[in-house]
Amino acid sequence: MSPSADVARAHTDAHGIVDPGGDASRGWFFDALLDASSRAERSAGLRERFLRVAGFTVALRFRGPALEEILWSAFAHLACEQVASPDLAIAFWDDSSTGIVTPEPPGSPGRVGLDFVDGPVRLAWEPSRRALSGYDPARRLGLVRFPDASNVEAWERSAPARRVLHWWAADHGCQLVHASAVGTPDGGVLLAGRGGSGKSTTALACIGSGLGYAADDYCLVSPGGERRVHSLYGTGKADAGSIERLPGIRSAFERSTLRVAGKTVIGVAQEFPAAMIASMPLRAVVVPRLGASTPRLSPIAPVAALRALAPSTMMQLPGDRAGTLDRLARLVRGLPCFELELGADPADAVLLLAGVARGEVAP
Amino acid sequence: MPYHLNTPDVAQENVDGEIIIVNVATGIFYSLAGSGGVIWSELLRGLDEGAIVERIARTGGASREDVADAVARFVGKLLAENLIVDGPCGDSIAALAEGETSADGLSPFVPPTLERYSDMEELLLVDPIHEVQPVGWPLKPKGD
Repeated sequence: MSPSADVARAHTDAHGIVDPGGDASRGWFFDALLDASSRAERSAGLRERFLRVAGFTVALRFRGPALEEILWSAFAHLACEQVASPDLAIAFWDDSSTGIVTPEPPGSPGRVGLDFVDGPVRLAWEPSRRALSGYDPARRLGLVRFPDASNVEAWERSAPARRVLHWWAADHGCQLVHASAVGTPDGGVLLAGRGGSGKSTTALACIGSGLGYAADDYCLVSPGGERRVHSLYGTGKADAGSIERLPGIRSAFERSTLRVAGKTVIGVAQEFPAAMIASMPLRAVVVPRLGASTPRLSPIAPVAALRALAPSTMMQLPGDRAGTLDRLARLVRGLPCFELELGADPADAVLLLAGVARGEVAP
Repeated sequence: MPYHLNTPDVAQENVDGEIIIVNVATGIFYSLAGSGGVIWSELLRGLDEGAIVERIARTGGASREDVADAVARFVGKLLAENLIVDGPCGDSIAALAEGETSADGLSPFVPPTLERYSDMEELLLVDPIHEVQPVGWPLKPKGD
């Protein structure tokens, strides 16, 4: 790939969209970032990877090896052959390892929160981390930039480029959703709920059980037609208490040194490749909650499942929140939905989930 | 007086007859109980309070006075939460009311209630998202 490959592609886009900066008042900063990514590529080289998700092909264009080494593994289970015209290309770079200086928006270092620009291009700037991401649907380009690859947080490494993938998915009839997902090629279940509800532990307990593992925290869903859920990140995380209750995979956690917010992150796709499932038809949404000594499944209204699914999905991902609510509402309408009171042993809950995934449990 | 949905800050969906409302600016979610779903849908269709009271009173589930009092208090809460604003709705807004709404709470009449879920508001206060105007960011230096 030649230097400035993304810029060249912008001029030769298959959709005929060839204006990389026509309205500078809207897109000039995106173009400035694109220029920085090209300088990073000239400095550190291009390492290109391809993945296939939800029927689309995404190119990950790492500038130099530093970010590829820490971010690609989350996507590696979705790897596919190179294609000439991917549906999305995401450029990843950092200033430190590539030796370039990326322009930054104003903002005091340490200021909490996220600055978000919505418009023909979308941009997000986190002053505290000096992290930038952007998406231009016309050019099918995403940008993810960090100041220093050696300081990329573990949560970013376990689920890279979330905002770019959220913006892009929405343009393609899909939705990035904050949920775990398990099942078989014949049917899957979304586990919805805020952090601490037990969805990650329950999803990880499926490894080795006969139920496949698609996600512990974030996945893609297709709400239209045959509703489907797609794996995006082949990672999983658990705190010490949960790891104790997952004896079959405990050793993998003990080998990992990646920690995020009191949890240990493992590469599920690397440790347990046979457990991964890339895509499955969605059979039900299950809302877990900690409680009973023995697990218990109770039917709930789809709107109750939406209340578990929508808040954290909508509020963690800036942009098109009304559209996000619409897609999630379409996903749950008419779908069997359950509350799952989790027992002491996650393996017991997995047995109930298997019945739901097979469509054997009617609301 | 007719009202309309406070777009774009507020989004709502009808899921199998039940309404969920979100103020996307604050992160607060709402659900409706009693006759709230019916009244909400009639408001989005452009009916004013008087017309809604007449419609519900005709079902015979409660006296007109009781219905009028309950509807007025409910509309007051919706206004206080900035979920609806004064003024007639356009066709595109009225289309939001499409879809069957549960007739629960009409006969017998159950006063409407608005349930509020603010746990995401706390999350946004800790880790806020600042919307920046889509006019270029940062402002392009003059002369470029």
